[in-house]
Formats: sequence, C-alpha cells, structure tokens
Amino acid sequence: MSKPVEKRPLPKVVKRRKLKPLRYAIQTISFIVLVLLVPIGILAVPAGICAIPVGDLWRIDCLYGFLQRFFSSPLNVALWALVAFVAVPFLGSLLLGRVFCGLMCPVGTVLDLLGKVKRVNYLGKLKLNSKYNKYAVLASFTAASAVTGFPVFCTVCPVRGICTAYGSIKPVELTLAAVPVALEFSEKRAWCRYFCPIGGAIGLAGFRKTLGLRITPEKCIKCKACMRVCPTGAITDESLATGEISRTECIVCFRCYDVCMCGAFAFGILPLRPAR
Amino acid sequence: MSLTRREFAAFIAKFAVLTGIAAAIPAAASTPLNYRRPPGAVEEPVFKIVCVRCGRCVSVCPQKIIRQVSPLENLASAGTPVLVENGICALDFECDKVCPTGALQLLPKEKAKMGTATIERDKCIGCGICIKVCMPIVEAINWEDPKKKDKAVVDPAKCLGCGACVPECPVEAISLSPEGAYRLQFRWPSR
Repeated sequence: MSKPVEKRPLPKVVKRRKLKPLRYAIQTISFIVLVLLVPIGILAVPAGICAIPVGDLWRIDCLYGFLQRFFSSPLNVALWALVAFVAVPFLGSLLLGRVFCGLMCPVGTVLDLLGKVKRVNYLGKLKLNSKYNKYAVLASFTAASAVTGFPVFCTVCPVRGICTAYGSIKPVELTLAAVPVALEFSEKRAWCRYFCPIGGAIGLAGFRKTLGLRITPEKCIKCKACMRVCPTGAITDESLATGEISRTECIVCFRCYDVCMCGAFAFGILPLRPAR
Repeated sequence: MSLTRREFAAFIAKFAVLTGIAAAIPAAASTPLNYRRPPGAVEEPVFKIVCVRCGRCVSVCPQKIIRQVSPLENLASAGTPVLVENGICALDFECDKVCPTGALQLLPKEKAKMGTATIERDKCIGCGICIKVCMPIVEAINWEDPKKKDKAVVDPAKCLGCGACVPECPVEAISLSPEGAYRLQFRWPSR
C-alpha cells in the first residue's frame, strides 16, 4: 500500500525565446575585439582592456587597475586625472553590476568555452570556496600596491595576460592566464566566483545596481533549476522566496533566465533596497 | 551580505597573509633596473604607476629597440618599456606620440636624455669616428685635447645616450648606462 500522493497543480510552462545565442554572440564579439583585434593593432589599441583610448584625450580604464594606481601614490595629485577614465566602467557597474564578467571578460569566455570538463571540487576540500575571498584578494593587493608603489595585481592579472599575450606570444603572460583555467576544473567559473578582484571591484560598485535580473516569487515553483545552473551561486533559497538575486555575485549571464520553465525571471529595474 | 564571525575572521586572516605575500615578493624580486627607458619617460616611481604596460611604444618604434620587461626579470617593472642593450634611438619620438598614459611625454630633442655614453680612455685609439657620428645629433663627443686629437671624450651634459656611437667604435670602447637620464615630472598630456 502506497501513501496517497499529494496532488499539486502542474506548473504552467512558459515558452520564451532563449537568450543563449545572444550571450554567445556578445561574448564572441568582445573576445574578437579585445583579444584578437586589439593586440595586433587593428584598432591600434594593444592595451586590451586595461586602458582603451577613446579619441586623443579620453580613455576607458580598468576599475581595479585604477584603484591600485590610485592607492600606489595617494600624494600624487596628478593621478586624480585618472578618475575621469573609470567613469564609464564605474557608472556602468553602478547601473548594471557585473555584466562585464558575464558577457565581455575574455577570461570568462575562455572558461565558458571549457564547458563540461570533468570537475573535482578541490577548492571545497581546501575550504577556499568562500565568496569573500575575492574581496580579500582585492583589499590585499590594493594594500600591497600602497606599500610597494606600483599596481601589483596588474603584473599577474590573467585578463591582461590573455589580452597581451597573443600579439607576440609571451609565455609568462600565457601561464598567468592558465590559473583561472586550472581553477575551472574545480567548479564552474571558480576564478570569477571566488578570486577575481576585478569582479569584486565591479560587484562592489554595483551592490545597489538598478538594472538586473530578478525572480517573480509568485511564478516560481521552487524547482531550483536556476540554482544548479548559476555559475556564481548568486541565487539562494532565500532569493526564491524574496525575488532578490545577489547583486554582487550575479554576472548577468542569463543562464537562469533560459533554464526557468515557468518564466519567473525578468530583466528590469530593481528596487533600491533588496526585499527582505 | 551577512558575514558570520567565523567568515570575518577567515577574511582577515586571508587578507593579512595575501598582503604579506603580495608586498614581499615584489620587494624581494625587484632589483633596480639597469636599462635605459625610452626618451621622455617620467620619473621612475611614477612611471611604474601610470604605465599600463600596453606595448604601443614597442609596436610603433621605427628602430624596434623598445622591449617590455619580463616578469621573471623584474616583477615591479614587468611589462614596462625599456630600450634593448646598445639599441640606437633615432629620436623620432614615435613612442612619446602614441603613449596613452602620459608615462612617455613628448619633449624637445636636446632634453631627451635617456642615459650617458662613456668612452674608456685606455681603449680609445683616437680614430674620431664617434665624433663624426655624434656631430649631426648633439655634438656631445669631442677631442679631449683639440690640438693633439688622440683621445675622444663624452660631455655628459650634452650626451643623450642615444647609442649611435656605440656600434661605430672599432675597439668597443664606448659603453652606455642609464645614469643621468632626464626624467620628467608627471603631468597629464594635453594633446
């Protein structure tokens, strides 16, 4: 004799156009522009994404590179001039959060290309899988820059490694870019999730971002497919109830949007304060 | 964002350890660079900060004498541009024109001092080739005694350290050093 199964109403399946092709398209274009075109000088900007000159006077700088440069020399007033050059990434992060990580970062694209490699969760065994690690990396390399007087993380940055190694193959730079790849064999996007200080800086800038993904709790059937597919662990049990996805962790990759079969995810204006 | 006390303690511990590593390794692995910087480089501490290591100067140099420092060589200066040993700078200032950061700045030719050439007095045979080479550039090399004309000598105040004389010397008496280079104050380039 089996127990009578509690009957639940079947969820209404919502068919929506998948955003995966769009993500692939944006990632491919960004990768080609930043890594393949830029270093060989087609756009005459071999700096990759560390500093992209716009016209003769303007520049778009790396947010974390600026932070380190600024703290390297707090007394040098001339470096205040650099503030204007992080306006675009800073305001972009303020508005959209870590959209750079999910859609544009060349390291992220390489990690996504690895796809379904066989993973052994060694970071979990070493207890290094804390999302606060990236803020520790951020703070310590900024402090080290202040002590040593040069941007320390920039010399070992894997993003710079990938962006500058291609033009004239540089073994050391390529080796640096292999670190996130090695971490990828532990967990999906482990580098971006636990260690990348650039993502940490962008996430901190957008911790009250205004545009992003949110869950409609009324539509959610708590199947947790989004939690399994999220590469950064931005969706928790709590977010299924409140609709708030961690704004510092979400990299706006739209994987959850695609996987949700009841259309509970929406991209739009977020409330200023997260729902509790 | 809610940290437990345990997580906070772990954060502080990681921060302390990483700061130690990130500050100690470059300090230990970085000896002062003994290479010439490209002409128009700003003073060394600021140069390391403002240079974004993009390598544009390397790619535009008509003489192909700029290279980027390897991280294995000097961590603090990794990726920054230096001149190759005994490379001859033609003083075109292409590197200064393309630098997006103001780490390399355009300056008049007479001021573009990258280093100093020195002639070993004992080796010099008094052929005068270096004097002829330097004549159209800055006239920094002259006879020690204009009447005897047996030894050439460099005027360190005039010498730009461009290196034009080095390969011409038949007895390899001339050597280059980055000493005495003129390094500018950093200011935002107004182009």
